Parts: sequence; C-alpha cells; structure tokens
Amino acid sequence: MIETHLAKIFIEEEVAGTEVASSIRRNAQGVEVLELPASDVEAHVRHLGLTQGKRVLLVKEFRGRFFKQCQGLKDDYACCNLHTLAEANGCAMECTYCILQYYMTTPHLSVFANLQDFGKEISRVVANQPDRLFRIGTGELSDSLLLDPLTESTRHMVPFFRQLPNAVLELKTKTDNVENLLDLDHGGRTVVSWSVNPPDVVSAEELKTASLQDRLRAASQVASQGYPVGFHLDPMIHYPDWKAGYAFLVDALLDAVPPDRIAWISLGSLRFPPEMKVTMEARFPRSELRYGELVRGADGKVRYLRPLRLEMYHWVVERLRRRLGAGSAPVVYLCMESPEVWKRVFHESAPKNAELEFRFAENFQRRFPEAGFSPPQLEDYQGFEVARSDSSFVAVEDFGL
Amino acid sequence: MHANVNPFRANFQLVAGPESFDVLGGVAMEPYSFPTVATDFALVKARAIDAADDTFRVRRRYPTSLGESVRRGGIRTPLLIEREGERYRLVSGWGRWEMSDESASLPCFVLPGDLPREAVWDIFLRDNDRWNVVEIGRVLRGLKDLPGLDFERIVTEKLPLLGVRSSQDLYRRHLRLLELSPEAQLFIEEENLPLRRASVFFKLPADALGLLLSSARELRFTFNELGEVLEMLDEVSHRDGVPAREILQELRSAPEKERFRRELRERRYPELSRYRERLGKLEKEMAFTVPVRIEWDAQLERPGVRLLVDLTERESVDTFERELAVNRRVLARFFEIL
Repeated sequence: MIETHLAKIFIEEEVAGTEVASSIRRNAQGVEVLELPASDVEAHVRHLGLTQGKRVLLVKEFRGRFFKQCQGLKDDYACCNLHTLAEANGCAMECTYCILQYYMTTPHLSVFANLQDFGKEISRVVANQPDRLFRIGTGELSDSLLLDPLTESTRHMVPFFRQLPNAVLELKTKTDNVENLLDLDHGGRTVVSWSVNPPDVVSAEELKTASLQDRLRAASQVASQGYPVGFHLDPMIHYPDWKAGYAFLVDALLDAVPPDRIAWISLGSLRFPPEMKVTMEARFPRSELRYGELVRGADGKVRYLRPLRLEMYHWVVERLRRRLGAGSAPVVYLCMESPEVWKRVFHESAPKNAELEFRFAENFQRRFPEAGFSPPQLEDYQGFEVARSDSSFVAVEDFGL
Repeated sequence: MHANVNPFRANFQLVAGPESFDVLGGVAMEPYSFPTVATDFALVKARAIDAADDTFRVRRRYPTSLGESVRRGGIRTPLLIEREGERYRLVSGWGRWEMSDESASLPCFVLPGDLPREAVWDIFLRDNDRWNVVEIGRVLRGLKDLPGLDFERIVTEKLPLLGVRSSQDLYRRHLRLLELSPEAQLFIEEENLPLRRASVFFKLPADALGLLLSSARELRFTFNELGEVLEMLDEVSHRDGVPAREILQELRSAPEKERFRRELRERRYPELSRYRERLGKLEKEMAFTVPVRIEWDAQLERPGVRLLVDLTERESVDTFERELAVNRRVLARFFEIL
C-alpha cells in the first residue's frame, strides 16, 4: 500500500459529522487530527511550501461544481469527452512531470466531504441525457485511490455508480490501494485504471508511487473481482531505451490482466507548460525529462517532436495489435493529440469527439454486458452537448449517506 | 521595489535648523528631522567620513544625473551618519558623498552612537529604496550577521522593507546572487534584471559563466538571447555530461551571434536538427524555373508544406504545372517527415 506520510489533518467543523470525516478519524492511525472552523484553517496552511503541503490534508466542503468536462478538451486535439469529478485536490506522490505542481494554487491536499451534494449533481446531469453513457473520472487533480484507505470514499462512490443507469466511474491511480474495492458491488460500472510506465521511468520520474509490479498486481486483483480495467500509457517518455521499456510494459500489462477485462488503453506523450520547467528543475534536479527534444504545441504546452511521438505511438500500437489480435479489443486512443497524429498512428481520420465518445460507449456496452447498459446510438452522441449546470433538475434520491 | 515615496521621509516634520543650512538655490528652506530617532543635525566635512567602513555600502553604481545635480545645486538631502570615535560611519548617502569634493561640508543627520544595530539597519532600510536584486542580496548579507536577528525575522520583517515578498526562497535566492562572479553581478546590476531572470545565472559554473558573458558582450547578445543560450548550455552540459566551459570553448569559434546560437541549438536539439537538415536537402533537390518558395513548420509540429509560387505571366502556369509533375516525388518525400 502506498503511504501518504501525512503529518496533520484538518477537518473543517462544518463537515465534521460526515461519513468521510468519520472514516478519516477512524483510519488516521496516529496522525494528528484537528477540527477547526473553516475560517481558521487557512491560517494553518497558507504558509506551507509544496513539499510541506503534501503532508497536510484538509477535509472540507466543496462549494463549486463537482462535475466538469475534462481539461483535455481543446479545439486542436481529438478528445474522448471524459467528464471529471472534483472529489479531491492535490497529491502526495511526486511525479516529476506532474502538472499539479504548476497548476495548483494551494500546496496542501484537500478532500471534499459533502458527498451528498456530489451525488445530487451527478444524478441530475446523467438523468438529463439518459441515452448517453457518461464516463466520469476522478483523479484529475489528485489520485483516485491514494487517500482511499483513509477516506473510504470508494465505498460510497462505487455503489452509487452501480445504481446510475448511464454512467461509468473511472478511478485512475498510480497506487495499489485497492483493498476497499474488492468486496464492493460494482455491477461492472466502475473501471479501475492505472497510469503506467516502464519500470525505469517509474523509478526515475514517478517518485513515491507504487512500482509497476505492484500496480499490475492490484490491477489483476480488481480484474479478478470483475472490475473492468483501464491503462493509461501516459505520459510516454522518450529515453534511450524506450523501445525495450514500452515493449516490456505492453507485455506486462497484458500478462497481468486478460485483454477481455481491459476497457480502454490510452496513449499520450510527455507534455507540460514551458513555464513549469523552472519548478521541475528546482524540485527534481536529477530528473532528465527537461533535456528531451520538446517543442511548443498548439495548446502552448511543450511536447516531444512530432516524429518522435509518432515513432513511440507506432511502436506501442503495433505491439498492442500483435498481442490483442483481431478479436474484440479495448478502445485504444490518444490523449491530447492532434487529428494529424491520430491519422498517422491509426491510419484513419481522427474521429470527432462525439464519435469517439460513442466508440467508448459501444465498445463498453458490447464487451461488458454485465454492466447492463443499453446499446448506444451514434446519432444520439452526435447531438449531445456538454451538460449544463442549469439544465432541468431531475429529483433523485440523495447519495445514501 | 519600494514605491517612489519613502514612507519614512514622508512623515518628516519641518523644524527649525541651523543658519548654515538656510538657503539652497535661493529658496529659504528649513531642514527636517527624524520623527522617531533623536538626531543631531550637523555640517560634516566629507573627509571626516570613514570611507573604509562600508557596512552600509550596498549600492555600487549611481546615475550620472546624481553627480550633475550635486555639482549644480549641492547636496539637498542630508546624509545619514553615525559617530564612530573621531570619525563617522556613513549609513545612507554614499552616492552623494562620492560625488562631493573631499573638502565639502555635507549636511548630515548624526545618529546617536548608542542605537542598537538593528535600529540603525531599519533606519537605513527605510531611508533607501529602488534596490536592484544584487543590492538586496548585499543588504540581506548585512542583516544575516546582526546579533539577535534570526532568519525567520529577516524573512517576515525585513524583506518587506526591501520591497520583497516574505518568502524563504526569495531570501535564499537573493543571497545566492552574491555567490556569482563579480562580472555576473555587474551584468545583473547593469541590466537591472529582476530576480527571476537573474536566476538563470545560477545554472552555470563560474568559469563557464565568465566565458559566456564575455562572448555575450563581444557578440552583442540581448538578454533574451543570453537567457536562451544559458538554458541550452545548461541542458546540453547536463544531458551529455560535458562541462559547460568546454562546450563554450568550441562555440567561441563562431564568428557571429546567429552562428553561435545555431550551433548550440543543433547540439541541444540533435533530432530536430537532423530532420531540418533532411528537409533542407529535399528543398535543394527541387528544381523550378518559376519562382517557388517552400515553407514548413520549423518545429515540425504542423503537418504538410506550403508552396508559394509567383506566376507572373500566363505561360508560367504551364511551366509550373510541368515542373510540379517533375518535382512530385521529391515533394512527396517531405511528408515522410512532416
């Protein structure tokens, strides 16, 4: 299990009575837990640097919108229309390339305890488009499972998604913290996915994360409990031995999880805002990522040269093709890549976002019948727009807390 | 940096002063005194000031306008000095002192001799502003050695007096500037670089930095160009395990700026350079009699090529069509890369 190394936990008094707060008090295992009014907490955390902040957890109420379109949605890039759930902010692991060190304005970790509000919002949104299969991921601004041994959030989320008729939850992680998942009734509607890299990249650039071996062992465990599994080979790193590294990785993950239990596999290359280089250099002087041949893309982030990216994607996609064969295969897709790159990699025009979303829905419905979703219609997806917060309210039961 | 108005000075009150200080530029004026510290006002000979005691000498460069102003109108703002035995320690006003003749009588506020050191530093800080980042480093070095003043208090109490946000990292980085070679410090001061930009000098070891700065002066680099070169040098040096000085020595044969930068860029981005070289060769293989320019994205990010053709007369359309057919194969090879 990946340890968080927390030194202190602040629980805002306003959420002290929630299930999440109770779980945290129960599982804190000697970490100091303080309950304070929300207005007083700020004074305790505002001076923390990034490294110190990672050892402080703030349990609070989230007052914004939980449900959002994935940040990856940009005009110039093919996007899978994933939606995200803001259930936590910040991460105690130390990936040298992590965008959070640039993006987050607060150094400490936060967990949002008002799960009822989250449940209401999700229910309302998905009920508003009943013919759409929503893929909703946590872990955009955190790791989905890092704090789960403490918060036990998945014990509420997974059963909640089990009862939603048209949504799949994706829990994305670099840990092996799957204990809480193993005995849950998920109904095939939660995909547990791992961000993976070859072992040499994990040890050099993904500090304080679970080893590849431990991640794959955990993936195998949840797959044997009937969970669909996802893999994200993202960010792919161009290093001297990358061909051998990624060949090993593809083999290792397909050996760990039977292909028919893999829902999707994404590929993406290293990318970050150029300004983040200063932070990377200061925090991780031994990382060699910044020495790569990185150029600025249409979204302002730097990426490896297009020919290098293409070479890496081709290598992995070919390896996947050989291993997966011609049968029923998971969706393999590119994250934050241009339609031209997509076309070169898959030898087909990049699908429109709605078409790609439909592919996910169709593939998932067909290959995971235990989830009990209805067959999707492409026309429906072509007509969908991003759900708006002011869409008509559909009353549903609370989150069950 | 501090705002233009010195808050300490702004609170001064006019009080009656000595007759020797009553006329400046034909306008009767009265001197002011410090409201919080009892000071004597005196006219002190410039030579009575101990120039060797540079405790408070953090500014090394003064605008030429200061010298002109002193020559034209004398010293209008009193210096701040401390009695040190028979002589005086100059706390504030080094520029004015430097611009004055040895024999000149300088208007001075004389601080009482028994003031705690920290109080004198506070007066000094409040009496100066518009620090550059190296000067801030020098002030912090002075404060660091003060008994009873710990790191935390310098960060929280003194940095704001210098116009710097209370931050341990900013404190350390300002002090680190003083570890740079004198020529690097001079460059930072001359260019008045903010800390963020000055920090690029931390990337290189002193020997390489000296060499680079001399090249930069010779080849007339702008600061942006210098920053780019520094970053590339640092990255090539770390990636390839070659001392930066060695790389620079090889590059110094480049007779002009653009070639220097190009050669370094090729070394920093070998793959990109190889692709560009291949594209350049393809371009040379194309043969048009009609004026044709072929363009591609230098970063290779945008796919495809753009042909710009000057068709000045009707016949040139036919010629271009013919030549395009001849060049078709070469053109197609661009797409292997782009």
